[in-house]
Amino acid sequence: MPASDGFFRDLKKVHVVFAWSALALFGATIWMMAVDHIEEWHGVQKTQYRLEAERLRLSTEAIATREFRDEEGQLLEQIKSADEELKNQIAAQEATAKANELARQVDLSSRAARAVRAERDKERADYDLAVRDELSPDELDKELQEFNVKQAEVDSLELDLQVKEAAYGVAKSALEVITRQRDELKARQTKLLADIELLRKAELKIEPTNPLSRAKRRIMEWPIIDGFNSHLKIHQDWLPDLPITLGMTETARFDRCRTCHLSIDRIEAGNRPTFPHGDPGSSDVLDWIRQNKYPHPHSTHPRPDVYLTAASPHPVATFGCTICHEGQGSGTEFSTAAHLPDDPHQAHEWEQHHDFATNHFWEYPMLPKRFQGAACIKCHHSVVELGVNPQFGATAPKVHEGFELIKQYGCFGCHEINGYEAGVSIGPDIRLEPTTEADKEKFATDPALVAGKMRQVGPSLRHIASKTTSEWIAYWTEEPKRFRPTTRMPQFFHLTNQQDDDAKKFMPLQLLGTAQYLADRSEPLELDEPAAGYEPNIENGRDLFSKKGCLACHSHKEFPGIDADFGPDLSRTYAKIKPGPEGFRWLYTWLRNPQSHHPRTKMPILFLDAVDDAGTPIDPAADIAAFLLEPDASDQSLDFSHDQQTDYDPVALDELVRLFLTNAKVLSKAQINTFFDSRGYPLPIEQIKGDEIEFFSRDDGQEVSDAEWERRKLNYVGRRTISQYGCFGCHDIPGFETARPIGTALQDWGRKDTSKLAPEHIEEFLAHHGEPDGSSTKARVVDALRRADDGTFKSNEDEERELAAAFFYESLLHHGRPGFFWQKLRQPRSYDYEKIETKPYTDRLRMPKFPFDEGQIEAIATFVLGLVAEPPPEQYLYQPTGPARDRIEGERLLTKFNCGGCHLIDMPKIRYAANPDDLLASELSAGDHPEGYELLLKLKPPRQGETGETVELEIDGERVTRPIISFEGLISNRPDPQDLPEDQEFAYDLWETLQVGEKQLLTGSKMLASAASLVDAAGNRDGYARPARGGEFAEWLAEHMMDSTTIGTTRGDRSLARQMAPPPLYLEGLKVQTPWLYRFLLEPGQIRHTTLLRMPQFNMSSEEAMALANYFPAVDGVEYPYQQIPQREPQYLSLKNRELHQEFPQAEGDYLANCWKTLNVPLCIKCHSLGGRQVKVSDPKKDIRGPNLDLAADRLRPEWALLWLYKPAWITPYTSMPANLPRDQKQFEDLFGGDAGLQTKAIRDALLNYNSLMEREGKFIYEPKVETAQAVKSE
Amino acid sequence: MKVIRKYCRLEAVLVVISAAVIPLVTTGCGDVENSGASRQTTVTIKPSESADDSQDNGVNGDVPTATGFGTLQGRVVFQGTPPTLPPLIKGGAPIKDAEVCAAVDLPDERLVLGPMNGVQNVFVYLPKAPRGAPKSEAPQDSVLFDQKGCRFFPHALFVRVGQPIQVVSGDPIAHNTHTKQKRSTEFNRVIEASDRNGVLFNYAKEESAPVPVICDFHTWMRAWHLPLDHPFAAVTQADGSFVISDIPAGTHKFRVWHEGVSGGVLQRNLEVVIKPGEVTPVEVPYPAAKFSAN
Repeated sequence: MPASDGFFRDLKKVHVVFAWSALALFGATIWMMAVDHIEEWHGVQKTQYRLEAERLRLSTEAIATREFRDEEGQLLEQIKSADEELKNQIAAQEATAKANELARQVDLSSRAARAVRAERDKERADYDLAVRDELSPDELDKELQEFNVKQAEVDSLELDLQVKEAAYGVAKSALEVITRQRDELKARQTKLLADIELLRKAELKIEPTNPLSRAKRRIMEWPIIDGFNSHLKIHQDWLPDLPITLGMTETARFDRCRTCHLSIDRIEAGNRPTFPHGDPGSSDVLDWIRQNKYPHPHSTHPRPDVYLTAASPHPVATFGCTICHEGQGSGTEFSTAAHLPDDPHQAHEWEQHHDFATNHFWEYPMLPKRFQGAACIKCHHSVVELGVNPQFGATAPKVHEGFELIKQYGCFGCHEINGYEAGVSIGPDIRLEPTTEADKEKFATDPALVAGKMRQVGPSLRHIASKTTSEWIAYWTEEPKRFRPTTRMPQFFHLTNQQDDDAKKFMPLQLLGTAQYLADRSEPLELDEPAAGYEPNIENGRDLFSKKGCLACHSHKEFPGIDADFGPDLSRTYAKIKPGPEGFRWLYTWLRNPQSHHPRTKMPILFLDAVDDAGTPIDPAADIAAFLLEPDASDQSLDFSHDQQTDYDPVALDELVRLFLTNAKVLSKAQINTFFDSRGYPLPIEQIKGDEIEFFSRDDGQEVSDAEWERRKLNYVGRRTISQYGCFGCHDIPGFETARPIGTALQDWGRKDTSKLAPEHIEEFLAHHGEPDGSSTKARVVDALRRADDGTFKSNEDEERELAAAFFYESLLHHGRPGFFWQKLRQPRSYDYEKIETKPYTDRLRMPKFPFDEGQIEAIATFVLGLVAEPPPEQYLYQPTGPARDRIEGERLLTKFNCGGCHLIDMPKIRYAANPDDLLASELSAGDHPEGYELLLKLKPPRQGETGETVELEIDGERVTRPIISFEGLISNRPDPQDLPEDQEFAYDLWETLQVGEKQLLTGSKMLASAASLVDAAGNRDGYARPARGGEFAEWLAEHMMDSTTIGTTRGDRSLARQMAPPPLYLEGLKVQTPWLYRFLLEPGQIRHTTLLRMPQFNMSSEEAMALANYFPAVDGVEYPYQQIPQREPQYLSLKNRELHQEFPQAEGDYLANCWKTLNVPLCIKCHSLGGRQVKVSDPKKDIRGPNLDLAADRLRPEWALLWLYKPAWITPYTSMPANLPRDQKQFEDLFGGDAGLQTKAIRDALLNYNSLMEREGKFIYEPKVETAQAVKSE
Repeated sequence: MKVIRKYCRLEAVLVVISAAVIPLVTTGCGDVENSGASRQTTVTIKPSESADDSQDNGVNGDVPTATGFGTLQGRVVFQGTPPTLPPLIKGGAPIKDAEVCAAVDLPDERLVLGPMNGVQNVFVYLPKAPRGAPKSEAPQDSVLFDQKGCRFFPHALFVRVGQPIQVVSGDPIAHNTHTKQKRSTEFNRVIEASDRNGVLFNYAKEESAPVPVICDFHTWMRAWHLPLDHPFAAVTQADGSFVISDIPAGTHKFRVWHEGVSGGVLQRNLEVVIKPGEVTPVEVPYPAAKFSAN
């Protein structure tokens, strides 16, 4: 049988199968296309286009007012009548006809010329080819001839054209004269309609009126057809340089987020979002436009200066979206994009409106709003710039807060955050500095290793026995907050997994053992003491405590107005320090030189040296120590005594020791039994690596007495407890020098595999417990969600806090990292719930409970979740150089050494509604030097004071609109509370140069703002819209001293009081020479005499001093680290010399000699010691004494010094220093002819050459010339 | 011309008054002091520019209870035993610029009493111009503010906003005159030795209380200036008396201020009824307890 189609298969059947499968395939294709077509983004884009069109239409309507339409109509009428008129005018008709005829002729000639020009060009090319082909001269000549003929033709035609063009020009001008009026009307019409035309064109593009275009646009939205460059399409950012890790491979990143977020980068003039985000509470686009609030995804990204725009540091074309937001960039649906709700309430809303479901297949979903900024630290490893940024402000304040909290609370003591991998930066680095010599050596020699920079946050316990008793240590350790509620030390005992009998039995032993171990191993400390017979004065101590700067870092209940928390609250020092003379001596030693007790302490040396006050010795350290040790009789909570007897249960101790020994897994059960019998450790000391070393003693070989045996056991328990809890992460403890952090490293915790988190029975725990009052967290969350549904939250803060708890709780139930972390910080031991029954006592969870509130926990979580150790390619890392880098490093150190505790770093800002007519423009007085004014404008360029915003105020019963003006300044006078509310007025000293309209206000001007006119000042008693950064102590001290008569004689003088306080560091970079600042930071000497305290000596390295010295000029944008002082150079001096002798032939000596004389005239010496002479002091307590001038040469920058001499108030409004050489006075005529300007420069030059002049000229007392001496000038 | 004539006439009257007062002053007042006081009086009692203006202004502003103007005349009297203040600087004390500043005893001027315990240098003023008061321009003739023997003369001075103050010095050493007002830019500059031409300056804004004027070189030196934008103020004379004329009739609350009182305010609201064309007498008691020697 011949083979046929039917040989193998039944063809009919095959046809049927084929037909069905074709149908199925067709169906599937249709289904696929349909599914694709109904994807949410189509609708979103359509809405967006409608929004755009409506907005354009409304904008057109807004322009096309009745007046506008009237004007347009009028113009149209006028044009029409002008046209009519022209039509009827014979001259016009003729002129038009003539012009038209000439235009026709020009056109004809021009065409003719063009044709012949082409032929001429062809001839030229032929000739060129002939040259190339080296034709014979005859042929060449022939080609040239042909060219010449054509050229002549062209010339003649062009001449003809020129003539005709000229004639046409004349005719056109004549016609223009006739039609000028009509043409002008038309031009006005075009101008009037220009904006509207633009809007209309844009609108037509989206919603064409032409039926054909409309149909085309509609058809382009059809399935399949929409694949051909439709206006509805996927918008994709392709980022090959910013790969994403999928599974185990890296691939280019595709972000399709802009498919829905179409207008995310739309901005308007002035860098303002075109579609500002907001909740319009409606789904009608017209409502959105009316309210100017646009919901997601139709809104523009906030802060276009920072994100998305090409001019910002993060252009969307380079960065895309998911590098910052996470999520699945390739997803084009709400759920597949891996959006993540901010709380369960929002999740519920999303489920209803977007069919939202968690995308389990995407490991790293989008960061919810509450963790905004977490991803910033992928690139911003130094973190600081996210919180303190002069250009952009705090862009990621929560991450920055988390970072600072981790540093403050010392989390890194147990949980290392290693920002380096093989020497390459992978994220923020927060690690302990190397402590042992071996470690230091290792880091110093291996270039691939980067050392940690953090100090242990707790005090050193190496000499603790000199400071306090072991009873106090045990009392404190048990519950630190009980003794000092503001302490940062966490709680290790009495937590949720220590409520059973075992814990109750063992905890007291662990506390006792720890205290005994620390006291036992404490190393002796050489203690200082005041001079023999010195009687410390408590009252004086109290006064000095307030004035010597202690309150810049510490608080004390006797000084309620200031509560610094850089150091501990010192209110109950008397209860803590060892009683008796030894405790006093320890405190005295600590105050004199804190580094002797704790070499790495941040407490500086305060120069509290004993002084002789008119025959009475004063030892400030002794007085302050006496003040701090004076017990407070009213302290009822003092439930602790240094000599309390502590009994313990010896059986329990043995049990605990056995437990620890068993857990150590070194000895067998039998060995342990033998050990307890013999009291001799079964292994030789060489084999001991752990805490069992405590069972050996220096006098080994002797029989172990009962007391010694008990001591050893307790010490062992103490040492085990310290090992277990990792106390050495925060404290320097003898015996633990080489111990390593005990906790999980956190540098990639943000990517931690969630299957490795062990939530254990946390759901059960939170169902019944979880809140501080013991109530159920679950109930709290259920209640929060109910209230969110009902909208019954009392306040936004309430809602935010409760829904945050709900978010974390939900996350925890779904094994999420955020939830796990949240509960770990809230109740670290709660994961042991119902687990302690099945594990040994020694294996229980160890993490202590830190005193964080839920807001702080969220901030820390934001930071830790951002730790992913996935650095993007290097070009994306923020690695600033030059001043930007130095600023960041400086900011870090400002925080580290609490410089802002004393010094004001950034001036406060005031915003108020001003009446510009009331502002007094600064005018130069006859005494002011114009050159000084120029210099002022150079050093402090005027800043625009008007913000462009306005506010409505009620003044005398009328509502008026006033512009908001902002400026930097300090309060100089608060309103009198007895004044009527409308008379309440704040007065400020202006510290910058301000331009308001035409008016210029110079530093030192007083700015007056009525209480009602202040903007953003709620709650600030000084009316500041942005409070000062730093300087809290300085302002407190000034306030405190205002009613004192310490300097000057006037009470209530804020200016004088400010001179007693630490100076602001405003524009410090402009002022001081960087090398001087570096030396000064390391070895601060006394500069000022009016200040009540001296700059202390900080425990800083020379690198740190250098970085800090560089910070100030980097901020102020001036030269550093080295400065030239041209005033010392021979060229400058010889030029000055020549000028001096040319202008004043009578002048004796060279330029510098004259400068020296000028410096020594009886002016500077009134307040400054100089030139080998001491200032004459009338009353050391009241005199206003300036700094000694020998410091100026190395300290001051030349321009700053000159401006200061011209007019000090232009730099520091509160200074007592006057303008000494006003321009309109002719003093000391034998010096520079009495020219005050030259004399001012001369003083500056003398100051900058001070040392050499002192050497060369020596002491000099100015003797006025006879003719001017004592003469009463022109009465 | 009319104004000037009026002014001259008034000054003549005042010179007569002060001539009558001077002999009453028994101790401690040198020539300089008197000249300072007389200048200050000249300024204080200068009447408003022209009574004719009052009509126009009265229509627009809040009309006082009665039309017309009256005078307030009074005295500030110390009650109780006055404290004896030791000199600020003893003659011959070894202080800065002692040859000038400690040539003689420098009196403590925080409390200067005249005959019958009248308190000198007390400011009596309306914190704000009363409604309906005629507008008056600040006088453009300058008032002298002198420094001699490391003291300021006058010790207490009422000036008008915008009125020039001529700061001079009769000492052969430099002083630094420094005004400490709260509402306008401070004046802080050196006045050279023996400068009788001196320097002109004025207050650009009114103040709510007298402002201290100091010399930063010689910190004990102190005077008080009260700049106001209206003429209703006076400083008490050596006998504690003061006169404020041309006050719109009605009830007014005057403030009485003296440096010796803690916080300055002796009476915050001294309520006075001014009747048209009449002189309202008032005696302000200064209880000894109010004076604080610190």
